[in-house]
Amino acid sequence: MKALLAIEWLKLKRYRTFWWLLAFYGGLLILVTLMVFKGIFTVGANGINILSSLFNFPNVWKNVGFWASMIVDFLAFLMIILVSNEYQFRTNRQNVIDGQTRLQFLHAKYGLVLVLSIGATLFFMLNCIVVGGIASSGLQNMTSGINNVLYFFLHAFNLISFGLLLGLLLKRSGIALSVFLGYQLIVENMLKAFIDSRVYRGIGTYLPLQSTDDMFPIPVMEMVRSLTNAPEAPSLIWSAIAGVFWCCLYYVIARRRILTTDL
Amino acid sequence: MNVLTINNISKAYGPVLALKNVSFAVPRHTVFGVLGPNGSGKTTLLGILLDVLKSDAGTFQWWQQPDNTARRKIGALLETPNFYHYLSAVDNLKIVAGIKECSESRIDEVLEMTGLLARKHHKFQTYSLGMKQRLAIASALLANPEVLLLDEPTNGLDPAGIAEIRTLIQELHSKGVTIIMASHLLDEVEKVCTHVAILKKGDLLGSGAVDEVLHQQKVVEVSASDITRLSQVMQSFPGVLKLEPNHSALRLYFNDWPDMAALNRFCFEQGVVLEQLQQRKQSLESSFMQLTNN
Repeated sequence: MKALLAIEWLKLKRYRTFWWLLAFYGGLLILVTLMVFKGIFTVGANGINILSSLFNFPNVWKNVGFWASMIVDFLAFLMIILVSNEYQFRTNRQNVIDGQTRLQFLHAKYGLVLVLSIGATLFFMLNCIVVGGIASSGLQNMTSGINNVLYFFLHAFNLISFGLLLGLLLKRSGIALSVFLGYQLIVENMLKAFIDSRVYRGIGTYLPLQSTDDMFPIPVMEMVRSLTNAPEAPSLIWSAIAGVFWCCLYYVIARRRILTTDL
Repeated sequence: MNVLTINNISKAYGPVLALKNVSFAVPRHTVFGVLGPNGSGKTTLLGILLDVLKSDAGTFQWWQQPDNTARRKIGALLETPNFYHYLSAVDNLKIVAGIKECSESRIDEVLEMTGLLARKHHKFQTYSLGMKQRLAIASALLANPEVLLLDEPTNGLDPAGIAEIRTLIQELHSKGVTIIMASHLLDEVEKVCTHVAILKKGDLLGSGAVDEVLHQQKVVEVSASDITRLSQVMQSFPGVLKLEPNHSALRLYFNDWPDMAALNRFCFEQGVVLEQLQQRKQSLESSFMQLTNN
């Protein structure tokens, strides 16, 4: 795996889009965290901000986690672009012609998914520690709610490996990005509503992207939550199990695809 | 010993059968041409041998062992050169070296061999078609391959470039490298190949040493003032397979060279004085056309 990642690094280190999208993730996460933390970004009117302003431990994990869980989309976009570029410029074929096995090609990309997920999680963690440390006037309670770090990793891995699968199946970055956003923002929400209302209430939350996204629900004030019936986070353990299941399914589909079709 | 053995490979694209039960072997230290008109299945076959295409049936083995790492010992150029457009020649070759698990120390050497050393730090996207093809050849040579597999290697090259590649192929062959080359340029094949396999619409028409597969008939061109009389006389000359008028001359086809003095004497004795008597070898192209048209 180390050798495969070394080859991926040679491909990436001079690729500008890679650095731009990493910068988008890091920059936007810092910007949004600071703006919400400082009360510059608010939702509401007449001086009332319904967004949770609780940034002490353990609230900071869920509060920053909500924003980070959206911004990590940029890393999924990056994965889509990287994989579809390989197909568009036929460098995936060349890698195999040069001696990589088809599975090595796939595993190299999965290695990248893992590295990006770990990197995104560490950056998220650092943000939470800094902001939480300021809000809590110290790091004494830092470990409270730290399991959210693991959940965030799972969410990042879920999103980025879903991007990898779409890039692999659709081979064109424009189409894959459109399908990703269309599915994430519209189709899955409609499916969730349909399943919850017509099939069985509470099952919709275990759909592929929802399963880990719902671990970080919108951080509204507690009062607003009780008034508006804002969604509570579902059972984290079941969400995590669903997330792992979907990630395994993406891998099985991707593996079957890459082993059986013409490149 | 064979470097490659192919057994009953078939491949279809929908209703189109691109390869039909193709079997042949490539002996070591040969320059093996895979010939065929456009659409005959050459590139499909090479794609299967390099695992970028999946065959519907049949098997193949490099070095007579099912080995996933075999491709690392093969230098290959398939269709168009595929490289990372935003990287330089050197960075692209570093990736190839990483995949082939070979040293990066030969990068400058292969760029020098292919005339790209001066542009080694320029991005691939700034290269002309000929330069891209040269980089692909440099990449194929990087790991000192035991087998070189080239699909139309002279595509996009100017006449000087074509001659350079031909010389390079001959040099590598003399050093013991086995070369498998798909081409529709028979002139190229005639100059470098020792063995051939001929494909037509997915069927293997034959394979083996060039002389055996593309049996080249011997042609003698004769002319006289009375071409009609000459034609009548020549029909009774022993060994003539076919007579064919060619402008003001007559072409006689033989399996082996006839005794030219005897032929001259035969005509003279029949009252025909030859104005021209010339040996010609049938071109590979006409042998090929003969084979693929039947």
